[in-house]
Amino acid sequence: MKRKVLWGILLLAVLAVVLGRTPIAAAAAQKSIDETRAVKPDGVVQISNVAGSVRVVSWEKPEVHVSGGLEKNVERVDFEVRDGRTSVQVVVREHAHGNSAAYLTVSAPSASSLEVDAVSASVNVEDAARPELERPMRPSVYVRSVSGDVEINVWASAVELKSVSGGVSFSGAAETFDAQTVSGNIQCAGAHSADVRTISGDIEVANADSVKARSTSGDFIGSNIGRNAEASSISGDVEMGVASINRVSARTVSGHIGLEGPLAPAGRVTASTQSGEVEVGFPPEVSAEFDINTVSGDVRTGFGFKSSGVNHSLDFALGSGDGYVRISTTSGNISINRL
Amino acid sequence: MKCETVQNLLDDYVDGLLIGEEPEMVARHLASCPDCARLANNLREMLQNAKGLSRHIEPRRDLWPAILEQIENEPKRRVFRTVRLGVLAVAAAVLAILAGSLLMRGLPRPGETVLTAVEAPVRLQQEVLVVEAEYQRARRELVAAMDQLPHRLAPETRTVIDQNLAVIDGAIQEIRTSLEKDPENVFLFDMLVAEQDSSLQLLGLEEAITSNTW
Repeated sequence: MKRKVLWGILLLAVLAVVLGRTPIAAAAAQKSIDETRAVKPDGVVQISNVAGSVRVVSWEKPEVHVSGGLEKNVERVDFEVRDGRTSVQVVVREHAHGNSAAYLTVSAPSASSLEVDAVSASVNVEDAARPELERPMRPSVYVRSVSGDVEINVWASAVELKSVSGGVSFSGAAETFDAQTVSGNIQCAGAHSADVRTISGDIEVANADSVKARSTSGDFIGSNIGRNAEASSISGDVEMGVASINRVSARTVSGHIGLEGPLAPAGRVTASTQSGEVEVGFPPEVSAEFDINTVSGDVRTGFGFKSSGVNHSLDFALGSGDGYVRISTTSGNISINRL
Repeated sequence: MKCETVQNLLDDYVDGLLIGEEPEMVARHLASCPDCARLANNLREMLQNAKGLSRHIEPRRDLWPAILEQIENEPKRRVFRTVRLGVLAVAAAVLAILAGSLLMRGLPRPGETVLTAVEAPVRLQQEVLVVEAEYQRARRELVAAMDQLPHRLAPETRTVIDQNLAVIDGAIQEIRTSLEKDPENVFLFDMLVAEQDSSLQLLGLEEAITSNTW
């Protein structure tokens, strides 16, 4: 009997440790918040949280509702409305580092601008499915985070995300998308224009009309890019599929460059790398002047031209030659494929 | 690069709209081709002169009633000439509007020249030194703040920041190593400046945490 009691105590102790470190703690947290404030539907909602999670959902009410669980070292949540700005700020006891998570769900008007600051809290912003032209876009969504992941699914005019190591992910629709990380990966689908920078993270952009991407060692993958793309990396690879190439530039030092897509009338492509390989593909009816240069790489084309040796260049024109394609490498091979 | 190709790019070059390595390629060609360089300078001059154009021109008197009467009384065989003049007038108006819109694009100021491919590395070296000094200062201040106020940060957050400072340092070193092998590579200089500049912005984010100024 005594042994059963001891095993029971041990099991409870293990459960307490495990539960204390899982999201279930949200339900088992010592405190909670459940408050509502009346707000202007097109105001600004600003949320800051150190640890735990921030989840923002949209609704059509002129109100902000905050609910969630708070761990024991969360001193309070300041929830104020002043001059069109709603502020939700988690205040943690000073010098306390553990048990200071707040798991917040914030319901905010769909036409409000959002500003979220988080340290290790994850951030999730979700707009309800929006039939075309029925509701105005949010003017802006701005998120700063250190290590928590950021996931945004919104309809906004401008989206700006900054993170140190957390991954950032955007889907929905935005006129402009601007994201910057140190090591976090960046994913973007649905922005009209994207400007993304990372140092070691990887970048994936889909369905943008134009994109500007820069990474030092991360890879860049652009799919279904509309017309313009500018991608640069030192050692990462650059891969792009463009619907109708107007202006495309790809530069790396040692990464591989891959590009496919039809060239628009007077479209321009420039691709350069030192030791990486370059592989581009155009439809048979491509019309452009080609300016190909390499020091020691081989050049192969699916259009009947090839070159090899040292310090060689290949100049030729296809169609009426109104477009322009320039590819240069130091030692990397060059392939120009017929799609 | 062939002259014909460069000349097709001159409009965008002067407007600062070229991307990637295009500005460098055009600048290199202009440095060695007097004819194209002259065309580029003529284009800059024209745009500069357009700045002095009046945005609105009011006729001294209302000419329209007389013009309308003339149009209505014109024999049919002269319709083409009238239409052609009208088209030319519209074209001239469009050109004036375009020239005016170019004023909004930050044209080179009087006396300002676009860097040649030879001058660019020297100028960028100077820019690198300035940005690097600023970056190193901001980095030192951030680390000092974190060391002096350890209670402001959770240990795991401090670890994340330290790891990512190392990532930034590693990236800058990677670019420097490439520059040592290719010291006049304008692209690498550009990447180095951009790297340190964006690192500065991220240091600002990390500094906000340590100063508790969310």
